[in-house]
Amino acid sequence: MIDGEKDIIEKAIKGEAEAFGLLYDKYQPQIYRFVYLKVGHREEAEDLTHQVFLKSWQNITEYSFQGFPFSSWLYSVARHQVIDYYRTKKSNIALESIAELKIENPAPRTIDNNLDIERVKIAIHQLKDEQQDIIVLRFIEDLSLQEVASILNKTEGAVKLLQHRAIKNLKKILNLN
Amino acid sequence: MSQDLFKILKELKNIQPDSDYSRQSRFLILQSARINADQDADLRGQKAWLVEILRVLYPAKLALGVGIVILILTISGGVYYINNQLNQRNLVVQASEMNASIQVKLNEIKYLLETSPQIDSSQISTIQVLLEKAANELKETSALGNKDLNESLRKIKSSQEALEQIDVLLRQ
Repeated sequence: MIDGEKDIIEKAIKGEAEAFGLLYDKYQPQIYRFVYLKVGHREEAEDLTHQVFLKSWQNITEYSFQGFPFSSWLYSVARHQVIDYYRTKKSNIALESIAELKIENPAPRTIDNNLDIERVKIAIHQLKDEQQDIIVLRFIEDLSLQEVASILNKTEGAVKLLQHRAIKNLKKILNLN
Repeated sequence: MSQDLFKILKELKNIQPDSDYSRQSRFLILQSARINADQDADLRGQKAWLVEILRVLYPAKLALGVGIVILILTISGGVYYINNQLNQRNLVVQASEMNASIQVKLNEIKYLLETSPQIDSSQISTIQVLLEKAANELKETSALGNKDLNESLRKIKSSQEALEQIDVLLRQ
């Protein structure tokens, strides 16, 4: 959460573009990452992320503070944006998106490590929608159970169960059982 | 690899959007929202203003009042249309500034109509001619669209001048 985030959001709600710019700077990388790992295609992820922030800015008056960072709301908008994307374009993305999955700005690592990362990315992409959400939000972005439950509109118990299944399926896809 | 799975998941946090894309996306989002907000505010202001001018003209029973209001409606519509059409950043800024200036002038004219004890019919005719001129310039600007933006701006300026002449007339 940004220092003074509530004030910044209030200014953005009043129409101060600079305030929304601060929220964009803080949260755009993680929303992009979330979208990218779900659609597996860099350009599509860029377009969708752009739409997420455009919609959020246009509808920011609908935002109400729920005790979580502003990113929780953005993740919800992003989830719906990706769902809409799959509704309209699901037929022709599967194969090309797997080919497209490669990491940008990777940290220095051995070739073997790099291959493992690529395998994990492809495996995440093969998970069911909600399991993808759980893996990204809980294990990549380190969000709390409570926050993830709020984003997915589920109870914490349901999130724990989903989390268990998501890890189990991810290991299965990677032949790690 | 099983033990490393969570470590690898953490490494995926290194995924970052392209910086050029982020810069451009940010700019477009903030810019488009600002222009929309400005246009909405302009339109709201124009509507409120027109209600006011109707309120002033009706009790005064000016013979050509209705004609003036219709022309002002045309001007207001023209200004809004121009804001929508001149969708190039620098020209939008110029058009917005002119729009603001026209709004100020229209407000002044409204005030003068409201406070003038008597306006004779010849003066009203002249006002009508000048308003017609302003309205026509804006109508032609609308027709030009993006074809000749410099010519569009020249016409907006000309309509501004016509409004200034009305202002001078009313102050006499």
